Amino acid sequence: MARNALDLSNLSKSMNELLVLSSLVSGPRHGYQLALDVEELSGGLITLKHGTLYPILHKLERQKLISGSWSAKGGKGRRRRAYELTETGRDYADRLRAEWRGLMVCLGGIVGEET
Amino acid sequence: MQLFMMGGVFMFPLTLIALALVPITIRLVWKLTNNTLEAGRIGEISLQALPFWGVVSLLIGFLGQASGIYKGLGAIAEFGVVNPEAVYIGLRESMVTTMYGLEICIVAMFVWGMLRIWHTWRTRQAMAATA
Amino acid sequence: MNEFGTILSRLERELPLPQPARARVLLEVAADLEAFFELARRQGRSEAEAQRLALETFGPSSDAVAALVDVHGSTAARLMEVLAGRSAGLLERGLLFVVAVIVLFAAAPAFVDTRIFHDAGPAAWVVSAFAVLAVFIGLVKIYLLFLKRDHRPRQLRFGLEAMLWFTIAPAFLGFAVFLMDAFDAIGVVAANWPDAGGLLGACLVRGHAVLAIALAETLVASIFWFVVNGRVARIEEQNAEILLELKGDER
Repeated sequence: MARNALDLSNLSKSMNELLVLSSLVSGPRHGYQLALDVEELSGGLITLKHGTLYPILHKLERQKLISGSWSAKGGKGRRRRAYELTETGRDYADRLRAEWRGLMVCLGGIVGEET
Repeated sequence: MQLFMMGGVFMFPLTLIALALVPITIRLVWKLTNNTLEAGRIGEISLQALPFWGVVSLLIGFLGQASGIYKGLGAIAEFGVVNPEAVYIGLRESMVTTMYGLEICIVAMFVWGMLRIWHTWRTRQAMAATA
Repeated sequence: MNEFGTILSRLERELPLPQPARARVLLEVAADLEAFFELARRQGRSEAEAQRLALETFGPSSDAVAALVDVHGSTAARLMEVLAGRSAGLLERGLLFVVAVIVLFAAAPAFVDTRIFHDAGPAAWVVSAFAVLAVFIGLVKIYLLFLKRDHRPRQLRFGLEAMLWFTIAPAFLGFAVFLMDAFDAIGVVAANWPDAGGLLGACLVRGHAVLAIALAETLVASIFWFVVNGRVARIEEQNAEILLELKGDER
């Protein structure tokens, strides 16, 4: 794992990870629920469209930060994949949030108060 | 024909592959010309017939050389060198299968490269048209 | 009815991922499309609008597909996918079988007695060990897939990657030993030039024996591998078609 969770060279990727991990903090979610949660958490500012959620989820699962499982069959008889945070993922999410808070403070100092 | 006889039994499967690659290539070219070759993954897999058989030819060529040289050198090692010149002639002959296999491989790879460029260009054209 | 059948069918044909990642992505996309569609319909949207929103959110763009390939595309998995595709056509499978039989018959005289293993030395046993392991795994998989018909998704690919590396390893080892032997042989000949003719023959026997054994065993092991891998790939594609409810006309 990286020494710093926040990847300054790819802020949008880091932000997407933060949003996905934060929405999993409250419990397991299916993919479509995550997409809705991300939009709600960001106040509509960020929407994960065109399937961009899948590479994020699959990469986090490979890194064992989240774990996925096929749930019982849904309405149309099709199983859905649910994701939940692992212990490692929970620690990583805390670190990532702390580093983003630090970045926000730093940026706040640069952009200053509204006059 | 003399070279073919020099190469021995291994020349037959190599020739079979070389002959089979002709209709395979013609079919791929026909599909590309008529735009019936699937875009993306499926089309790529169809094209991979050429490098696949190229590598198989190369390995068969090496197997032909290795087994031929082993048989020749094995006899010499057992009975001693009667005629060193014959050793080198035998070595030369055994390399015929390797060269034949390598030629098939090179031609197959070259044709594959050309068709792949064509296929990629067509796939991009199709994507641009639907965008 | 599957509202997204056409999209899923196109995605199944064009998604450049190895199995089982491809099947997983397709099933996940299909489930999320339908769930989002149902949710949008419950919110009062029309069928067309709900379908559009679902596709907009979950239909993978080319960037998303490229990102998925980065995540899932290991070298071994891609190689297996390529080689699995090779056994799909009946004509090419037939050609592979005929070529394999002719080559095995052509190479057989060198193996009539086991002297070749003696001449090859200890390297032949190392090379053969890999090939034996590959064939062993192949026999177990053939029993599971064809006789016991154990098609459980989790067990399908178990052992395949190891079998692939055990199949390829003899060829690489054989070439390595052959080259090392040739290198030594030339050194010996250069140092003993008057006796070059006899020495060269004796020195090269071992390298060629190892190479012949290695390539012949690779050929035998690869026949098993093609049979097993092709069967696994076909089962996975059939499973994905059933789970995606893809009909014949949609393919």
